[in-house]
Amino acid sequence: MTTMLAAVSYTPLYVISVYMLALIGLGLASRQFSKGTSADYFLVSRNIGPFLLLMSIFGTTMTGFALVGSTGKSYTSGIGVYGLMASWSGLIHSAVFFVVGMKLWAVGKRYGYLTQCEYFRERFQSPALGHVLFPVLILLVIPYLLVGVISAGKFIQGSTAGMFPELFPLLRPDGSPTPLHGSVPVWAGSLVVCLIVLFYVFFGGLRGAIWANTMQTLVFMVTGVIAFYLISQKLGGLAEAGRMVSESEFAKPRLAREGMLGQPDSAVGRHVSASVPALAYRAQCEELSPQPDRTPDLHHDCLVAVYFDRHLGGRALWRTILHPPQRGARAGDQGAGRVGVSDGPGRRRGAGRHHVEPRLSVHVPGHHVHQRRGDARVRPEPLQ
Amino acid sequence: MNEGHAGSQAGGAVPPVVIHTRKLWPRRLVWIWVGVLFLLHHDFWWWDDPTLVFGFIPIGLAYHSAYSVVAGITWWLAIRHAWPEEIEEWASAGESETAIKGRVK
Repeated sequence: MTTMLAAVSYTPLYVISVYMLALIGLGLASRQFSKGTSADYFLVSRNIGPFLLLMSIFGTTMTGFALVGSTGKSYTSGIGVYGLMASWSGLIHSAVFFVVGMKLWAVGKRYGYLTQCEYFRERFQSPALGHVLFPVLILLVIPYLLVGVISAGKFIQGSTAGMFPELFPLLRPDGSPTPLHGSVPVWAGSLVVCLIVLFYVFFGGLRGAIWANTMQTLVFMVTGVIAFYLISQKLGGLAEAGRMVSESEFAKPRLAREGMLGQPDSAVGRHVSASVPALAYRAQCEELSPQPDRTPDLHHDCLVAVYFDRHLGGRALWRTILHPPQRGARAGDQGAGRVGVSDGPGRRRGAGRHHVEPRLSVHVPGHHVHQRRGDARVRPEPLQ
Repeated sequence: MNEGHAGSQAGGAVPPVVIHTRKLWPRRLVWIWVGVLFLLHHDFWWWDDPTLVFGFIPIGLAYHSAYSVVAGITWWLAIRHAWPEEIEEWASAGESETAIKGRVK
């Protein structure tokens, strides 16, 4: 254990701390620009420019589900996740915006609706419908919010492994440390993140939230490009990375989608349904701007760039050769986490419409392993 | 310029939305092309092909990257040539009528 502790670098902790302090600073700075009115606190006086609007909407879309969950899903299921999440989004989200979003924005602007409940209550002339919808909408939003909170906690946990062995020990029954020994627990990381968000929203209002969103969006886009470059360099360049993936027993099946994704048929429905809460947010954001948002294509471009980076280089495909899963660990445990995604049943051509592959459930101390029968994809593989 | 009418006047409270007919064909083309893109998304011919393009991009990922660019261009053109301006005009024209609450299609 002494050897492991000596190798621990505290740089990730410093970076995370500076990042969080910057968010607090943004909240305090945005307060200096407050006009002291409720319209300014809640709606930034309806005067947000197109850049901040785009960054804010895009940053809100890119939750832990997209940045952490989908990356982990690509690590386990390969390139098909890009088609499932990114290129479908590019087509369907914008289409839903054109069909529904513009009308929603127009009705809201014309009649002064700020919430979905207001719209449905007036549309159907039913105050009772508004009362029913309010808790339903709140309940539907909670899981989406929790995904972000949990993924932040998991990210902090993975980044701080080995830093606090006395404070947060995580040992196996035989006394040997688990990979997450000494890391900040998920609940503590999530709690800190919640408090920081609460701080900058409370002090800065919506202006603080938009500034924080913009900063975070710029950070993850820039660092995504840097990570892409650094990881490819570590692997010896793009061509060498490609060769290693092709020759890797674990990674090679993930170069194609056949058999790696579960139930893709419902993707369209998922995207349409996922577009609706996003539309509501967009409609509310557009209340902040004098003109309707004409940036669905820019939003899509940003989304595609981030997904491409994440799924190929950031943490997914190339990570399968940098950190192949070890026996005794779930395929996603060493990847980017598994938040909000599930492997689902495997599907293979000619094996029935939804062929559920038999799985072995293996319990080892500290881990719960699902392994497909006869599947060699979880075989440990040393880094060349 | 010919103009068509859409929308309804439920209870006489809501004025109609005027659609500029010069926008009709660009919009039809957009939706026809979106239908084609919908079909092209199902690239079953690459599903079991692990070939690398440029030595590092799996061919399925390269296809969907190109697909994404085409989708982006599609919506950029849609915004330029098929933007529903009449909805903006309808919304702006009624800003002062926020007291009016009625059925809207």
